[in-house]
Amino acid sequence: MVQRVSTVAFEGIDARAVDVQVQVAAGMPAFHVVGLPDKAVSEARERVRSALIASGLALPARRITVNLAPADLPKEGSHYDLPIALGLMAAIGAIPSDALTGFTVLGELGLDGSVAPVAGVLPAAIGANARSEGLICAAACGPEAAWASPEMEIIAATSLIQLANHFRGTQVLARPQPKVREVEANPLDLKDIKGQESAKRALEIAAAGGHNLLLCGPPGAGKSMLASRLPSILPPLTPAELLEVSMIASVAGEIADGALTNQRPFRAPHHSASMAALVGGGLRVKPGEVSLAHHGVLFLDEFPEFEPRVLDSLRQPLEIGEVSIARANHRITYPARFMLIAAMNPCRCGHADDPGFACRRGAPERCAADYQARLSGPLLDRIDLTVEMPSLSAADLMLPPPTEDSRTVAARVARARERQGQRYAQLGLTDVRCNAQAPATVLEEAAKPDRSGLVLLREAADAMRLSARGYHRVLRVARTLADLEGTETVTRLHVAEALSYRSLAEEARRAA
Amino acid sequence: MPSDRRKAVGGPDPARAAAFRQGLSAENRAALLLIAKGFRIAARRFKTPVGELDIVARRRQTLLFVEVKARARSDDAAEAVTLRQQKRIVAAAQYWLASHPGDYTKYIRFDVILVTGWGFPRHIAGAFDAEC
Repeated sequence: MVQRVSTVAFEGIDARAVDVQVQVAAGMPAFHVVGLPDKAVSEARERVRSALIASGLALPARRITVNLAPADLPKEGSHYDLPIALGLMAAIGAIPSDALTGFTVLGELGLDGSVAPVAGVLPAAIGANARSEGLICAAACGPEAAWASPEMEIIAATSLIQLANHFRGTQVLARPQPKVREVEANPLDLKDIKGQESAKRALEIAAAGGHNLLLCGPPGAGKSMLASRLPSILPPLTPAELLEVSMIASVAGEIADGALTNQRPFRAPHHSASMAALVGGGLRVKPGEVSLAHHGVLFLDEFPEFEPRVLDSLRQPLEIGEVSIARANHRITYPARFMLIAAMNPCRCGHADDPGFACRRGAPERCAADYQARLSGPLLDRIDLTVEMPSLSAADLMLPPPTEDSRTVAARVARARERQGQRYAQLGLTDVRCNAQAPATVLEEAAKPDRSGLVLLREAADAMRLSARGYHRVLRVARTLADLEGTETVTRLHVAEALSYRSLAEEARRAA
Repeated sequence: MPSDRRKAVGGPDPARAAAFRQGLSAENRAALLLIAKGFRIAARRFKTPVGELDIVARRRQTLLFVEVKARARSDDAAEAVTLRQQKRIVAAAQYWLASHPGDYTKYIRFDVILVTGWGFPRHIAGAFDAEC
C-alpha cells in the first residue's frame, strides 16, 4: 500500500506541490529515498530512522521506498523529514492513514524526535491555502504560517509524539496565532543631526517618492548617520507589501520566531559583497540583498568601493523592480523593488571638495575624477537625487538641536505617499504606490509641469544633455516635490529643485 | 568460525582448527538461544559463492539471517561485523531468497549474536539492513 503526504518544493518564492509517496513492501529491509533528492534530503532517512526510534517506534523490517513526485523536479532542503516520517507512521499504522489527507506538511526532524523550524513556511502556507489544504509545521514556525489565512487549519507541533497524540485525539494542539514582532522604539531620530539641512530635505524627498539617493561628502559629514535614520521617516508597510516582503524573508530563512514586522527592511551590506550576495544566486538560488530590501531600503556605504561588476548588476533590478537569476538548474525571478541609498566620499582621501585642500596625488580634481570613474554612467543615470554634504564646522555642532523630529517628517512623507497612491489607484495601477515606480507613459501625464516649468525643463534638458531616462527621473522628482507640498500641478519651482539634484550626477557623468 | 579467506591450507593448521572449533561451539550456543526464543533453524552454515550464512531461522512471518561472532569481549565482537561483512551477508541472503522464493514476502531481518567466553550470548535484532 502506498501512503501519500503532500509537501512543497520552493522555486523562488513560489511553493510547488510535491507528493511524498511512502511504500512499505516485502523484500530485503532497506530505506530508499528517490525523486532527485539532494544531500540534505537523502540524509533525511537517517534523521527519520532515529526520530522514529526516539518516539518509541521501530522501522518495520521491510523494504521502504519513499518517492518524491514529480520525480524530475530537484528537491533540496531539510523540510522533507517531517512528511517522510508522518507518511511512514501512517503506513505502519502509528497514526490513522486518513489523518494526513488535506494537509501540507513541512519540517525538519531532530534525532530525538523533535520538530525543528525550516525556512519558507509562509509561502508554503499560502500555497497550501490556495489548494484549500491545512498545514503541519514546527511549533516555532506556527505564528508565521498563521498569517496565510485566518481560516485554514494549522497544526504546529514540537515533536512527533505530540503530532501522533493530536491525531489520536489525546492531546489536541491549538491553532497558533499570527504574531507581530515587537517594534522597539527606534532610538535613531532625525533630530540628532545638526546642520545638513539640504541633505535632510533630499532624504525626505527620497522617502516620499521612493527615489534613489546618492550622498557625497567628506568623511565625518554624517552620511551614514543620515541614511540610518531613513527607516524612522518611512511609512509602515501596507498589508499587501508586508506579505511580499515576508515571503522573501521566509524563503531566505530570516524570520525570527515566526513573527512578522511592518517595518520596512533596511539592508546595508558591506562593500566586499559579491554579486551572488547582492542580486541572489548560489547553489540554492537564494534571494540576494536587493530582494531582501524589497519595498525597503538598500544602503550601500562607500559606494565606489564595491566591485564595479557587482554595482552594475544592480542596473536591471533598479529599472524593472525584479531580478531574474538563471542558473543551470534554476530560472528564478525574485521581486526587487527597493530604494537605493548610496554614500560615497568625493575622492579616495575624502576631502577633494574641501576648500584649500591639497591632495597628495596632485590636483584634487583629478583624484576625484579617478575615484568617481569607478561608478559607471548608466548606474549614476538611475540615481534621481544626488546631494553633496559639506563637512560640518564646530560652529554647526554648537547650534541648538533642530526642533523637527522624525515623527513630523514621517507624517509629511506619509501624506505625500497617500496622495501618490490615490493618484495611481485612480489610473488603475494598483501595484504602483509611489512616483519612482510609475511607468514613464503614466508619468508624462501625471507629472506634466505648467507652462513656465515646461520651458525651464526644455532648456535644462538641452543644456545638461539629459538622457531620456534622466528626463523622466527629473519629472518624477518634480512630481514628488509637488506631492510633498500638496499641490496638484508641477510648477517651475519644483522642476528647478528637481534639476538641482540632477546636476551633480550629470557633472560626475561627464567627468567619467 | 567461518572465514572468507579462501587460501588453500596444506594441512590442519592448529591455530585455525582451534578457531574453527571455538566458532562451531559459539554457533551451537547461538542456535540454542534462537530455539529458546521460538525460532526454527532453517539452515546452518549455508554456503553460497559470495560467502556463508551462519544461521538462517524462521518464526511465523519473520525470517532471520544471523551472523554469529565469538570474541573474548562483546565490544570486540560487535566491531568484528564490518561493513564488508555486512555486504557479504546481504549478498548471500539474496542467494537464499533465490532458492527459497516463499521467504521473500516475510519480514526479513539481519541479526547478530555476540558470544563471549562463558557469558550469556547477546542478540542484536535488526543489527543492519540491506542498503549498506
